[in-house]
Amino acid sequence: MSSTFAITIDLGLIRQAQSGDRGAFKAIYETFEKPAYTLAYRICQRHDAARDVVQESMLMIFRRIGQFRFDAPFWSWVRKVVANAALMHLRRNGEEQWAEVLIDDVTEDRSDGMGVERDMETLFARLAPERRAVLWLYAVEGYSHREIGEMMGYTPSYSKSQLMRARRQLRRWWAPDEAVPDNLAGETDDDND
Amino acid sequence: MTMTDQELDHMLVQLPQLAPRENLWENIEQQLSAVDDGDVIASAWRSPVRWGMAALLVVGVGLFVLRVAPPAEDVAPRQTVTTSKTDDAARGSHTGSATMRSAVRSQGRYARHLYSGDEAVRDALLEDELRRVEQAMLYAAPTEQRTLWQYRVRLIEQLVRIRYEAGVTLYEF
Repeated sequence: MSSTFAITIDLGLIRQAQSGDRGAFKAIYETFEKPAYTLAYRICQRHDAARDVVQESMLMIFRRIGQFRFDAPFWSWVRKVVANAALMHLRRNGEEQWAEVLIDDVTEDRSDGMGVERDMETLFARLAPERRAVLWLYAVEGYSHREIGEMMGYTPSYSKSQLMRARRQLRRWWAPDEAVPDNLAGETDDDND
Repeated sequence: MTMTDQELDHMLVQLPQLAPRENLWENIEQQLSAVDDGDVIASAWRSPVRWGMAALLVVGVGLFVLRVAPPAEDVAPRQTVTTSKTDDAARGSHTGSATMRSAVRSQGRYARHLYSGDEAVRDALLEDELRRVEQAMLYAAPTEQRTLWQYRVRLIEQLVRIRYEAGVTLYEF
């Protein structure tokens, strides 16, 4: 699994940014703009929230870039800041963040290719915020349950159970007429920590 | 045919990347400039003078509390040594959280020297969020206070936990 953040950038650029070079800041922002916005939007499901999260996290990154010690990929540091900011935004705004998408809006356009993509996007948006966040961080960004638990202030078991529920819910929405076999219902969790 | 976990995850991975609807860089750059302008004040605050000011503030608050709080004897007579200890604990409980938070913050600068990059930023994010919640509490309706208070406590717990793991906190959970 490869995160969309996994972009290798020149170490010289980071050093320039550490010395306060605005051009380097801008280059870093442009490199991570889309992955950051995508992650923020997938977790918060609102464009205004995603915009705030990206601004907040980029400011944090540029203010703290001097603390980056080159002992891990820069992109993973950026991703963690964005993920943390998005999770905090989610908590701060509580249930107001819940996307109001009706299941009836979803089922009609499943016939063409774009429809499938749109379906999953819409169904994903319907998940409860914390489940959605856990699923995205685990399945798309490749975080472990331990890491997700730490970021959300819970245990790894919490992350596992939310992942299981999110997947089960998505399967039921995706194919409401099909019975979900026990081995796919997420009751048995073989995910790694 | 029901999807497997891998198929489901793959569908999520295939969802399109998104871009902001507006140019965010201009805002970010403006805010960075505002930070630069504030550096003079910030650097003054970071100087040793800060510690003197903080000490004066603590002494002032302490004196104020001593003046305002009624003596325990005026509130209820102490019956035994045991109950007097309970009274002390109860009297201190409402200020305990604030004291703890204050201690947590004072550890921040020291803690960040020991962290790796990730932890330092997370620490700073938590502190920022804590400040934001406290500001919100000043204006929130009474019905929202409890939720904000619980959120605030969780933030403090997280902050203390990561500092404890870095070996810099006094508190253990």
